[in-house]
Amino acid sequence: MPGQKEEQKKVYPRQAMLIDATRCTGCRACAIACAEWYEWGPPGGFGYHYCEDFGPDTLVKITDHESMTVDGVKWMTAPLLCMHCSYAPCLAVCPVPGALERDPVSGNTIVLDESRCIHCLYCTYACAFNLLRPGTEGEGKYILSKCNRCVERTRIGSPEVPACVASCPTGALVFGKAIEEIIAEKERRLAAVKKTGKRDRISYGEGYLGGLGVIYIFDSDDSRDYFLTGWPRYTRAVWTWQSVLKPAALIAGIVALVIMLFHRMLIGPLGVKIVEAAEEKELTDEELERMIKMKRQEGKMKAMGAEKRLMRKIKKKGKRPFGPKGQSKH
Amino acid sequence: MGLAEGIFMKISRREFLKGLGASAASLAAIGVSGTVFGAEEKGLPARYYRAAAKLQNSLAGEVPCSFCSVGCGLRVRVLENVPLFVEGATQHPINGTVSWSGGTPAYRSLCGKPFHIVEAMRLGKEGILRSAMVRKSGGVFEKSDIDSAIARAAALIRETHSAKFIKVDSEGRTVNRCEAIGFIGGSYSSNEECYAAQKLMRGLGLVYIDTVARSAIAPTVQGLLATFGRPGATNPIPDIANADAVLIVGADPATETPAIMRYVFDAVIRKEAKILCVDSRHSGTAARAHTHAAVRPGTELAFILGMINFVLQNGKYDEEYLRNNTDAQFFVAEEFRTIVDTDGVFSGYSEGEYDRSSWRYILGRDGRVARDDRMKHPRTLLQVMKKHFGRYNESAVCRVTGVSRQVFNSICEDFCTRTGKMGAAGVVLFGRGLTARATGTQAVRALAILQILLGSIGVSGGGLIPIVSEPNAQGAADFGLLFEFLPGYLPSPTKDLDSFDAYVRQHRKVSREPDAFNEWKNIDCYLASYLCDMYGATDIQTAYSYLPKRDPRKDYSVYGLLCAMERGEIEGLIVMGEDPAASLNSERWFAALSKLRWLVVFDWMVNDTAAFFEDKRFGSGGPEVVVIPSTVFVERQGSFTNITRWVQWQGAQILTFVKAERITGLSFLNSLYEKLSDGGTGFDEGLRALNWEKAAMVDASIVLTIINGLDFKSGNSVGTRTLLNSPLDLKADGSTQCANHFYCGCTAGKRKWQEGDNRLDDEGGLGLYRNWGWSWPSNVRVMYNRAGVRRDGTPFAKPLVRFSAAKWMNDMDTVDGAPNASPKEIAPFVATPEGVAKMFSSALPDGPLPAFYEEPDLPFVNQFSPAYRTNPVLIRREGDILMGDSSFKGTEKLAVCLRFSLGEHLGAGSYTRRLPLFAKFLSQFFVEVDSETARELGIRSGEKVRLRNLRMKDGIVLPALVTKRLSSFRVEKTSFGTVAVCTSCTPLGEIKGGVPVNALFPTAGDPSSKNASEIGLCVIEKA
Repeated sequence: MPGQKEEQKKVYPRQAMLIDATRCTGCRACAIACAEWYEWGPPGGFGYHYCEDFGPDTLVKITDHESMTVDGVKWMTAPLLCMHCSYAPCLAVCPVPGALERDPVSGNTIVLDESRCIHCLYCTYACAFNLLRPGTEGEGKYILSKCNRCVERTRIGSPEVPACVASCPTGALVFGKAIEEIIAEKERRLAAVKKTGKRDRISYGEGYLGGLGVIYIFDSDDSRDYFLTGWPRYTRAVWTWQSVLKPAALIAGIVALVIMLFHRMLIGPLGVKIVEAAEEKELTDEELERMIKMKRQEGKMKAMGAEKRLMRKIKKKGKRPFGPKGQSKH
Repeated sequence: MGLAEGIFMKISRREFLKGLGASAASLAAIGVSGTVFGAEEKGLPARYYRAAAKLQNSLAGEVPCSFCSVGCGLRVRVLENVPLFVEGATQHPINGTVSWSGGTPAYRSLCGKPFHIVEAMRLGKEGILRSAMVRKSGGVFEKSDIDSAIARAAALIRETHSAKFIKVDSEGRTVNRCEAIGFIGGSYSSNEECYAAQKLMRGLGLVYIDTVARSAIAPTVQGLLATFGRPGATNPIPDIANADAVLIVGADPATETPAIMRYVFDAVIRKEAKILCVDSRHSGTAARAHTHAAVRPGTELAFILGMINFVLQNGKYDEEYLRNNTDAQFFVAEEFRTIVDTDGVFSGYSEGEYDRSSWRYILGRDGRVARDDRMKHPRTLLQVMKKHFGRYNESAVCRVTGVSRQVFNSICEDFCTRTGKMGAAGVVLFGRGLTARATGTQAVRALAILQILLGSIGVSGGGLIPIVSEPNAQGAADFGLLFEFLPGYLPSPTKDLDSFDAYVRQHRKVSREPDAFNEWKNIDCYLASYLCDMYGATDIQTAYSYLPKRDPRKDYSVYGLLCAMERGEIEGLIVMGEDPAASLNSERWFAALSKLRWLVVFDWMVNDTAAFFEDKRFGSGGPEVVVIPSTVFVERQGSFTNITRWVQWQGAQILTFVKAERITGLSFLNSLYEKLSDGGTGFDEGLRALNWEKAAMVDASIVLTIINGLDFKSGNSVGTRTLLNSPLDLKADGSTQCANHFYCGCTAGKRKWQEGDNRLDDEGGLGLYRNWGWSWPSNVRVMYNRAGVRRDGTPFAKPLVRFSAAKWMNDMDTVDGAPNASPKEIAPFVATPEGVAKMFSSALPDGPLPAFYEEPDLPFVNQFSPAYRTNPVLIRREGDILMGDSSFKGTEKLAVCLRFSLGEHLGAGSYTRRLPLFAKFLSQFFVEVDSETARELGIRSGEKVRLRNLRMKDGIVLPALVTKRLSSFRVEKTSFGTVAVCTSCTPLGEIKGGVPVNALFPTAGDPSSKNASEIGLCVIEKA
């Protein structure tokens, strides 16, 4: 994928978070800490759900899923928040410079600057996990916010961890300044959990989209129990944008540039002036020819063969090479 | 005209530049341009600057958290005297940056509960109280200044006291008690406040002294006291990570005490432990367990008894441990009969009461208990137990509890086989789902017996830890805020014990065993020191006569108090930092409160008890209510005892408070004492004789030295007296002053933990952290740790204390009991008269061994002893109709009602329920309904259901959350549903749909702990 390659070229310090769902008890401490730190309040839902979906008022959501197995009921809970993917589709589609980008100080954290966001919502369609949801404010005005993984807390050199991690009582959330640490911790925990009889537990996040910034250990053998797709990828819209529209835009841009250059080379500002003057004064072809020759003799028309081409054009088209006056202005 | 031509010729100079810009934009869109074209420097959005300001400008202070009984370290970020954010402390053994599981990323943790301090302080007048409030009868709250509010409270107390104080009762005994005033409080206060409160209240002659934490802590206290002689959890919290198996029974630590779960999960990583959960509801804890036994509601005890039977029948017990440390080898009296010999009761039963004379060991000629070391004789306790517990065999237990044999066996194997050998141990966590039952205390004993059989007491990674949500429930119980105890678990005097000598004769435990340390033989010293602390230099006999004597047959618990209030016997109630109306049956409490003459509440928010008249039915008339605003915990100093007996000092006063707005608990009690003793008239000499040094009693750190114990003769005031070093220094002649012998010597050590000298060193790597805070008794972190060493001095696999070269190596933990006595001299269980852990005990009124009975509200035949459905010595309280007594022959669908709590709500949610943020996280109360019942009644999630029973005839209506985590069950061909309600659901507060759910539960309950059963049967129907 072209977008992936773009992203792949860059090297970031990679911070990462481990969400160990074998330890998550669904106590909602992370959500409350986040709400306190960034001062949001959830819209409210029913039962254990304080929100129906992500939105500007929910930067983190706790999934809650019951399923019946042969051993009885299984209740799976885990916090869901922005994955901070290494090849982030949202970043790839964001059209506004600086609205959605990686924070270069804290590492691979993807930060949304709400003041620059133009609410085009491309990123919400692009997200491979459907974790970016817009909200509406007033009459149809979209607002968007996402987990910035507490960049102000986690910038390099700060001992702080994100607010959610600082409040997880069970050690289900672990934050590491380097993803290697987090992967090692994941391996260790997964091995121990498997040894105690939970053999089918899987981890999630490594290798998807260049490695997610959030690594999960699931208390289940299927990521869909946690409402996460087993095959995260760039969506078709992103693919179209990345593989068709953006190359096309690239080509169009380059072509435009080239044409501009040619224009400059072949005709230049003088040529344009002559033509404009010719139109204004309604010169005949002969008068025009004389004018060009004059300019040439003055040495002002430097472009090689420009006047010949111009002449050829004029002759071919007849008296009014550029159509009636006034039309050319538009 | 071609496109190229168009572009070619028609472009003006300006248009050319425009075109250049367009091509730049199209390139920018591809992401090439970001840094090239974006001229401005990148920053963070505004709200992140706001958040960053919290980080940079704030001051952070670390204090022990007081939002549950775990005692985590809390770091509070404060800006201009307002808390901005709370997070886990950086340096704390329970939740600080200690990488327990051994991995590289260290973590610190917290939970959702402490955030309510941030919310409440930020809120202003809807949150924390900022002035005293007084409500005249029939009126509404009006602001008042604190001083006149306390004066009013004192006047009310004095009025009732002078009218109702009983000096000599009808039988001519000196009782010195006042039964018209009740006191409830303590479990949210510091130890110093608990101490001062019990001092003033007992000085006033109150006998209705209790805490709402009774339902959580009293069964544990009684059960462990009967078994081990001491009432505390045996092992500290970080030690859970050393366990080889974790058994969680009837508790949901994931929501009640979330920080504990970290160690449970660490045990999985460190020791490959399995988490085993026995609970009727598939809670957050059960969800993460390896095996969950979803027992039928009310049968947790049967499951535990089945496990004990598994251990006994399959020989999984540890014989060496049993021979050394327990009473398994003792002969039990010939005339003793267990439930197997009779038709379901122990010997000595008649008409709702036991004669306990046959519940004894046989004494040999030398006065020692007769024993058989091989434990083969049929009268040895081990054989008696095999017979008794044989009734709880696998098939019967599986039939009653509804658990499949496979699950039962897998839990038994995982817990008993792994831990039933030397060097391995499993820990048991238990909670209200087990203890708030009609057999709650016996259930605690059953767990203790299981752990004793497996040799898991006194060793690393073993023990029993109760799960309690009230922050200082342990401290409140330690300092005598349970009616049956004075501080230090001295039984509170009854009217038949009219002299000091009679008291000592009754309660002193005499031992003939040469190697028994028998801590309680010094009860005369303990009581004399307590009396000296209460009444100063008065001679002990006179001082004893001042103490209020309760009626031994009367129930003075919070439930008894409720009944007395309903009868109109109580004129006034003092509530300190608790919310009985929300925690207990709100329906009955609101009605009972409206019958009072006055009510004094000391708290930092207006709680349900104070605001009961907001319920329109009780708005007119009713008592005069005085609310005194209390400081919150970040504004005061004091010590808090966590559930595993760690005493932590909160020295840092993070917020300075305005004295005119709020006062500390000690200042409140102090000025109440002043105003009470001012008038002088109508008061008995007891209150006047009270040893209350005003200057000392306002300062928590000085109160702590009083708690530590002082040599009374060495000075004239608290400041000049010398500190005592250990409980062994206490004297019976009134020369020592000590309120609580378990805390004696707490500040006398070299390390001044009360001045912040806490260290994170953990010598043995076992998580004992004995240089952090202090732990009663005598800084012993694991009680009975002598049991980890053989009597010849050789250690078991992983000892906590080591004995070598004829002396104790105190390198990991302080040795329990006499510090210099060798293992040969003193038996490990230092607090029992026999020096052993007592699996057979006559201390409880409902049996020397645990037996299963159905809950009072469930009309099922007891499969193990059909003649006795429920506990034969059940406490029945008036105003309580039991569903189990009536034959419910209707066609209605019946369901058993359980309780659950939510992670961010504290206890009954008295504080959290009123805060808007928390009301957003739980916007509406709901009732969990099992999916089968829901299908049967056609209920879908979100639809309203009505629950009603004989106690709550109108019923309560709540939206249903249909879940598979509860399951319905069948008994005798009838299918019963299971529903669960949230503990913090009461009518008042910000959250929608609050109803008095506690009214569904009975008040009948456990005779040992005077507790109520929390299983209610109700009719469920679509509303």
